[in-house]
Amino acid sequence: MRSPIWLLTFVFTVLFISQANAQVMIEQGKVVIRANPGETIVNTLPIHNTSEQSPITLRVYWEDFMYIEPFNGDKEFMPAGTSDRSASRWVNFSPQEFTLDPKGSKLISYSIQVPQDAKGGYYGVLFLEEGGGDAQGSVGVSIVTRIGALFFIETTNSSRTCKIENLAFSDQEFKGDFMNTGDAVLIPDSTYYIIDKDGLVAERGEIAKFYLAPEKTTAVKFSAGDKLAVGSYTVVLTFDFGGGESYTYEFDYTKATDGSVKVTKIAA
Amino acid sequence: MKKLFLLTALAVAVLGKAAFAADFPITAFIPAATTVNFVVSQVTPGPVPVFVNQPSLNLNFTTAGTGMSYDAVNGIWVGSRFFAIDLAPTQANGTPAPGTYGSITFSYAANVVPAGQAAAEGLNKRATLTAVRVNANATETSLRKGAIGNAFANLTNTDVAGGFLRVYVGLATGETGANAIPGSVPFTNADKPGTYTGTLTITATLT
Repeated sequence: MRSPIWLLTFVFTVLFISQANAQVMIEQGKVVIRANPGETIVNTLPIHNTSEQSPITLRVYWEDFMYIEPFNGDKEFMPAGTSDRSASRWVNFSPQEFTLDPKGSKLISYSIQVPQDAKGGYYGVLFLEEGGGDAQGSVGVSIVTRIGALFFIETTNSSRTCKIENLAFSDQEFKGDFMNTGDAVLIPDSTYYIIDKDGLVAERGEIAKFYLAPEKTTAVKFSAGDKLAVGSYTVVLTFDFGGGESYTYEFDYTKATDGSVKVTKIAA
Repeated sequence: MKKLFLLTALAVAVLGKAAFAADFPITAFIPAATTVNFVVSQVTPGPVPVFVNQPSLNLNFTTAGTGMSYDAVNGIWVGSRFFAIDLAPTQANGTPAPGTYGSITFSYAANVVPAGQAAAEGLNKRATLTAVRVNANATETSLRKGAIGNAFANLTNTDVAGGFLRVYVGLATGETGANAIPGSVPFTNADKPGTYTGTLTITATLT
């Protein structure tokens, strides 16, 4: 006898396949624009309805966004024009509402007029929203679904600078405060190398990805190579911001016979 | 004759070099697209819950014309159904799969309560949101749960690796222990009769 769970799974899978509410695809979920102050950018954003069943009516609008603590990619969405680094006044797009037939596609045209005095990074998200009608019945919730294309508009004279402070060792890890001292969001690919006194790499690894807004600080931590032998080592941290820009932080430490670790020299 | 030999040698050298230099780099780039699929199902509770696809994005917890029903044992008002929202695009073969979104966030707004009811004592506390990962073997792993008014959870593709994201939305039932939903309270006779509504926004973006 087949179990009810098997039957339920089968029934649900069939329902899932055949009756999807909607399936919207934004071809570029992240639009990165490097522009000169005063430059105007004109481009399009392709949108697709990848379902075969139902047409979708979408409302298009802009909001600001910024990465927030713990800077692991969490974002705060804000009304257009309300964030410190809003680009909403520069952005025009069309259409602002449209219907996509099953398997249909549409181009959203946008233009961005970067002011002469702009400097740094400016961030927003173009949302495509479905739903939002009045909730029906006496006790009910209306569902609004929206999917966004993140816009990173950064001027060519943006400052990608940072520093690390308060380096410390505890629980077999080095920890430090990574501060974004520039005017653009930093999303570095971060690596570390531990080099022994013979110049050989004794350990290497990646530092967890972070998304750091300007003027914000986040903790970075990485292994101190707890399996390494007693001795002297050099640590090289590299934060690759992309586009050929990076930050390197270097320090020496010694590991004593009792396992204690002491930072001896910092050369950022 | 000597000139012809030199010319031939030169041509062979040039052609030979050209042949060796004929490397054609091939590059293909797929942009980081964002896709997500929202599938809403009405779920009727029971020993084997029954899922029925609901095309509408309006979730009514009560049967039309009858409203909620009273649970005299527990002294609470309960809904006749709850809802499951699956967030996963289907692949070409129809298999549900995690989307290429980076994060999913929830927010609740437009809380409407009847006259006489405190504004903060609506569905924001009396409805619940439970996020689970539906694994490949159809089992569910709880990710987080709470009153819908506190539904600010940011869920990433990492949370749903190996499955897809399902969100249950229903009315609070006042369960305790492991099944308790933090921050939620069920409707009781202390609540004013009337209409309770709100809007749940589900946002999908890359990180």
